[in-house]
Order: sequence, then structure tokens, then C-alpha cells
Amino acid sequence: MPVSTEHLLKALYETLPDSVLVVDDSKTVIAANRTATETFGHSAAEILQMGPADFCAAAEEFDQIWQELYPPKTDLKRLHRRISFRRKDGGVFPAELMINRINSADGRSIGLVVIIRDLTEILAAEEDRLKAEKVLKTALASISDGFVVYDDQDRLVLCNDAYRAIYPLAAPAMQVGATFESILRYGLAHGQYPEAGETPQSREAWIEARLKSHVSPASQFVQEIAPDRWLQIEEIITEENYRVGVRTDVSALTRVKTEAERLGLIIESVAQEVYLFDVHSGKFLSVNKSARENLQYSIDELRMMTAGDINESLPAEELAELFKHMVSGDSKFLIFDATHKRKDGSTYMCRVRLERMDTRPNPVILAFGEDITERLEFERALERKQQEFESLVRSLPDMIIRAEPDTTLSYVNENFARFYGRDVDDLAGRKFIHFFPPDIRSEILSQLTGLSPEKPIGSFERALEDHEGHRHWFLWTNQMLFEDGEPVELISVGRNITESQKAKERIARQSRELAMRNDALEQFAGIVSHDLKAPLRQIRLFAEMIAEDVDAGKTDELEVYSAHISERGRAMEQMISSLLEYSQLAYQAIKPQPFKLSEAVTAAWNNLSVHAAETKAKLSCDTDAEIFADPHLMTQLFQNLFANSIKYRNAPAPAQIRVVVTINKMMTSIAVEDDGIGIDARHAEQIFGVFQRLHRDEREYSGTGIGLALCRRIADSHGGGIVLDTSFSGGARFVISLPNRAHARRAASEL
Amino acid sequence: MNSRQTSQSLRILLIDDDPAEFTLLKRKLAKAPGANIELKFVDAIGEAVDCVKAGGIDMVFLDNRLLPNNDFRETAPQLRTAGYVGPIGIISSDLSGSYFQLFQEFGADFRIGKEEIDGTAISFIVSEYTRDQLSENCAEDFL
Repeated sequence: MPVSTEHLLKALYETLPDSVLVVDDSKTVIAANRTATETFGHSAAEILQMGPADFCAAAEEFDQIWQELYPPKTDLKRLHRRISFRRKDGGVFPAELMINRINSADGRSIGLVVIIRDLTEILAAEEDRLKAEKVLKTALASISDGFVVYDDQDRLVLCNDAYRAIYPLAAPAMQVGATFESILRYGLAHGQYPEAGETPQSREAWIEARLKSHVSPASQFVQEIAPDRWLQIEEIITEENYRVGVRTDVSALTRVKTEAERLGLIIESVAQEVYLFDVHSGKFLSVNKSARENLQYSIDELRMMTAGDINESLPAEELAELFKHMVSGDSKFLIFDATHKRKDGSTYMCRVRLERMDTRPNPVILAFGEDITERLEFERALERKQQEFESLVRSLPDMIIRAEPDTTLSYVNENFARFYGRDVDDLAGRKFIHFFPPDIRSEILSQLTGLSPEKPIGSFERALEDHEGHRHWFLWTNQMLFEDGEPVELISVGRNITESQKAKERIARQSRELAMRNDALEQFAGIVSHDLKAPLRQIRLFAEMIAEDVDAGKTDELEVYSAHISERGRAMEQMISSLLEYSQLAYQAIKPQPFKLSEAVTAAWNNLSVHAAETKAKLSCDTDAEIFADPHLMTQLFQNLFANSIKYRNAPAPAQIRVVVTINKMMTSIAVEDDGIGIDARHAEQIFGVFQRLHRDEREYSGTGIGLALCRRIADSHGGGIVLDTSFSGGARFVISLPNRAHARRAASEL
Repeated sequence: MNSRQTSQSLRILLIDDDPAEFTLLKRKLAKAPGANIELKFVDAIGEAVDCVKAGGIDMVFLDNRLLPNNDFRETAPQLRTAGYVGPIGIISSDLSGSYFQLFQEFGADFRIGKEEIDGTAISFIVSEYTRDQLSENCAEDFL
């Protein structure tokens, strides 16, 4: 039998999960299906006794619906509402109400079909869904990682606040429904992804790569979103072809990793040898490139070796003894020099610094090794240089000091210490300035403080007394060392220039003497020239006058002129003889020797014995002094003085001559005094000049004026002198000074 | 300067410790053209000072080395100190000493070697230093 519509409707009516009530126009329920009886709890018979309003939780609510339906309107055939219904047991449940009008064939309304769908479970499920969604949102908001979901069309479904915060520059584009690519491009345009580069090409390439990894995520990767900020990106595809992404800020980790990698690279590439080995086994865990290359082993080979395998200088037991305290943990550091053996058997000296690192689970020893082969050679060379320098400094005659800028001594050499009669060690800490006389210290300090980085060297000459009181001249050269413009050290070198100073003084004295001698020589030449030319000229003129008078027949004055010529000629002869005598005596080399002064005095007096006897002159000389001089010249000197005393006596009284000797430390003074006419003090120096006479009348006092000049020359040639004692009255008193024997040779050599 | 007219006798004082020089100079002056000169002689500076103080000396010839003095630097100032304002000429057998350059500083007016002294030189000196009284400015106009 074929299924009729009626049968189908009936089956549908009976099996429908929703309650179905059929109501006529008089509000009477005329039919209810099984679901209705089960839902409301009323039996079918009870339902047929009830009106539709009886099922509603609020009867007025159904009345309102009924008023919309009746009187029937042609345009309203169906009504759909959500209202609450009440079961027989009083329970109220939400339901969806659908009412369809039933019309007769002629279009007249004959009743209603009311379908009630119990929404209790659906609403409960919706509430559960909403609750779950709220929990999800709360959870997403609470996590620090960025979370995002894109649907199968790659449109944004949701993302948490952290996700937006991670991409602040792209966040405005993160609207639900926006595609991943649009968000990506927005962020790129606003500088969110520095790793994409600056050029359009690099950016397009970056987007292409990013979309590819987004569409087909393979594994986690790190993305740089700002300088020094990195994200770890993990994306998965759900069964629904959704993409769920998590963004984790790994900046700190990346930085640590980067720094660790950098440190590792540095250690690997540093020139110093770096070893890491296990404390207990001694096996190498890591060895840097420098050590590997120097030892000529690969890292794999070294990992099979222990520290003892490369140590050539110490036997295993001694090495173990050396490491004992580090292995036990009693000591954390150890430094020693060792000989390392290379793979080819050659060795090198290495200074090793070990440090125990208490890492977990196993402590290790980190060792820094420095190949000190060159350093040792350099140190040995430096030591040799130091010894050479010390030897040089010791051999130098100079005094050398090093001091603080305030002159506190930090080093003095032997010469300095010896000069002051001290030990070298006693002088450190003393002030250099205190070794100078107090009256010049401020001047020296002023010079030292005046040294500057622009002019760091200065010098001065000062006389110093050694510990025995001997005076020495030193040239001090001071150099101040500066660092950053501040004085840090004073180095002074004192050179003994006593001899040079003496020579300088001697040269100055000799220069003065030379100037004086030049003056004297000029004067001598002038005098000689004058005194020789004058008689010659007169002789010539008188001869001319004689000739003129003879021509003129005049003879009355010829005798006078002739007498002048004779007298002038005689004077010239005497002068020339005197000059010869002077030159022979004055410039002869002296032959000093010790002898008794009285011997020269006696010899001189004897030479004048005839003249002395004629004038009844007397000599008094009571001395046994010994002098160091040329006896012949000294005899000549005394003879000249005695002759002058006799010549310039207070005639007719005889001359009384006395020789008095005074001996002091360096010089011997011999005074020759008389009771004659004396010499005016104004002529005290003039009388010692050649041809210098004070008396023009030769008839009274004859002579050429050369005697005293010779006396001075003789005294000078002995390094002494002769002067007229201008304080003496009652005659003339000449004082001869001669150096004593200890000084005589030096005085004479200086001339 | 002496105001005596050139036609009158001109008195020159020779100061020299060698009397022979007086004889020689007297002979030379006698040969000087147009000169009416009276030569007076002293052999020491002390006498010379007395002489110039007495007045009547128109010109002085002073020997450079006058015993016991050193040279004119000691003697010429003594004449000036004595009030003598006339010309002083230093005469010497040798003028090579450098100190001769300083003659004006010590009151002398000229220097001349004894060798150079003859009639012509004396005439020139006399005319140069004893011409008619003129003001200093007028005198300079003749130079």
C-alpha cells in the first residue's frame, strides 16, 4: 500500500519532538500529540479539556497572541513567539511557539496548529557556550603570550590583548574578519617589521615568505619586531583549517643567547689560550682556537686528553699535588708557569691561571694560558738592559736622583749618596731640596715648580759642599715628567763641573789679566815709541838746524845744538840698553826652587855694596824664612828695590832699609821699606810702568824708569805681586807677595 | 779767547819737561810766515798753572807726557781748573795712543805731533784759534 499524505502527516505528528496542539476557533484544544502529553505532564484526556491559555505560564500572554489571531486576518497565517509555558507539575520552561492557521477549503479559518518547542536544553546549551566563551576570553586576556585565530579563509577570528600589544603598530588593522595578509601589510607599512628591510623588493619578499610560513607552518621561528625585541612564533592548523598562532616575547632569552654566543665567539677567538676541564677527571671539556692551534690538537683529540697530557714541566704526581686544593674546593684560584708540549713534541712556556667554577652538576676548572715564550725573552732582555743601565748609571760620574714632584727622593745613585757620606738606602724619603743650602732652596723650588709640559727641562749651576766640607760646583739638569698635565716625577742629574768652573774662572781671570796686559802692552809700546822717537826727532832737527846755520854762516849756537845731539844720543843708548835688560829678565822662564830669602837679599846687597858704602846705606833683614822662587830673579828684584831706596834717600842722610817677612797660609809677604823721600800715593801704579819716571831732572835722580817695571814683572811671573804701600809714611814701602810652595806651581801655571 | 789783534804779539806757552823742545819750537816759530809770536816756556804743570793764572797767554802747547804725570788727561784739566779758557794743543812725539781721541773731553782743543809742527802748521793753528773776535755763529760761517 502506498504511503498517503495523511499517513505521513500522522506519523510526523506522532513522532515530532515538539509538542503539537490543535485548537479550534473556540480556543478548545481538540488534539495533542504524544510529545505534548510528555512535555506538559497532562494526559491526553486532560489536555482535551484545557484551553491553550492554560498551558502558558502567563495567561495574559496567550490572550495577547489570540487577539492578534482573532478575528482572523487574511494576511496573518503564521505567528512565531518565544514565551514560557507551565507544566502540570507547575514547572515553567521556555519554549518557542509557532502557530499556523488552519483554513477550510473556502478559506475560512477553522482552527490553529500550535507547535511548542521546549527550549530548556537549547538555552542551557547556549548559556554554557556563552560561559565557555567568557572563560576563554578571560583566559586569553590573562596570558602574556599573544594568541590569535584565523579561520579557513585566513580571516581573523579572535586575538587577545597581548597579541595586539605585541604588534602595536599593526594593532589598528586587527579587526575580526580582516585577513592575515591585510594585517601584515598594514603593520609593514607602519614599521612593525624592521627585519623586512627598507626596499619594496625586500618587503615583498618578506611578505611572501611570511605568508608561506603562515599557510604552511613548519616549526617555531623567531621574528624581530623592533631593535632588541624578538618574538617566537608558533602556528598550527586545526582540523577545521583554522590557524591558531601563539606569539611569545623571547627578547630576554634572545639577548642572553646572543650575548652567550658573542662571549663564546670572543673566547673562541681570543689570543689567550682558554681551557675548560673537568675537576675530577682532568679531561678537557672545551679548548679555544688559540690553544688548539698552539698545541696543534683538534678539539676532538683534546677532549680525549687531560691537563696532565699537555704539561711537560711537572710529573703527574706533582701536578696532582699542585691541583689538590683546587680539586678539593679549598682553593679557587691557582697561577703557575708551566711548559706545554705540542703535538709535534715542541714545547713552550705558558703562564696559567686556573679558576674553579662550581657549576652543577659537575664543577669545572677554567684555565687561561698565556704563551710567555716571547714575554720571557723580553723580560730577560729587559733585565739585561736594566743591568746594563744600572751598570751605566753606576759608572757615570754624575749624581742621579728620582723624586716625587715635591722632591721626596725615591731613588739616588751611589755617587749622590757618597757625596753626602750616606748610604743609598738612607736617602729614600728625604727631600732633594734639603740637600741644597737654605738660602737658595726657594729659588730652586721656584725653578722646579716652573717646569711645565711645554718646558719640562731646566738646569742650574750651584756650588755644594760634600760631607767633608769640600766645595764642588754642579750643573743640575732637572726633568719633570707629566701625565695628563700633572707632574708625576722629577729626574735630576747633577754633573760635577768644578774643574770646568775653575777653568771658566781661570779663563775669565786670564781674560781680565790679558786685557790688562794688552793695555799695559799698548802703553808700553806707546811709551817706547814715544821715548825712542823723541830723541831721534830732536837729533834730526838739531842736525838740520846746524846745517841751516852753517849755510847761513851762523856759528854761535852750533855748540848748543851739538850738545843736544850728543845728549839725545846718549839717552837713546841708555834706553835701548834698559829695554834689552828688561826683555831679558822680564820674559825669561822662571826656575823656582826653595831657598832662604836671606840668601837673595844678601846677594842683592852685595851687588850694590860699592854704592851702598859710598852712601853709607844700611840694610836690616832678620829672617830665616824660606821661599819657593827663582833665586836669580828674586836677587834682581831686591837689588832694584834697594837701588831705589839708596837713590831716593833723604840726602844727605844715609838710607835705612828694612826687610820684613810675614808668612800666612797661602802667601809670603816681603816688605822692603826705607826712610827716603817716599812716593806720592797718586803714582802708586804709574811707577811700575816701563820708562816711568817721576823725576825729570836726571842730574838729581838718574835712570831710565825701568827698575820697578822689572820688579813687577818678576813678582807677577811667580804668581805673586808687588805694590806700593800707600799707607806707609816716612819713606817708601814696597810689599812683595809670593805664593807658598803648595800654591806656587799652580799660580805660576795659571799665568 | 784772547782779543789781541793779529798784528800784535801772540803769546804762546810751551809746557814740556824737555828744554830741547823749547829750543826747537822757538826755531820753528821764527820761520812761521806773518806770525808775531812770543814763546814762553815752562817745564812743569805747576809752573804752567801759575803762568796761565797770571794771564796774558793766548795759546798753550802742552806736552803729552809731563813727568811725573801720566799724560794730558791729568794735566790739561789742571789748566782749565786754573781758569784758562784759551786754546790748548796737545803735542807729542807719538799720537798713536787711543786715548788721544778723547782730547776734547779733557779740555784740549787740538792735538798735533811734534814731527808735524813747522812754520805752516803753526801759522794755520794761530789763524784758526786766534783770529779777530767773532761770535761763535759768525766764526762757524767761515768754516
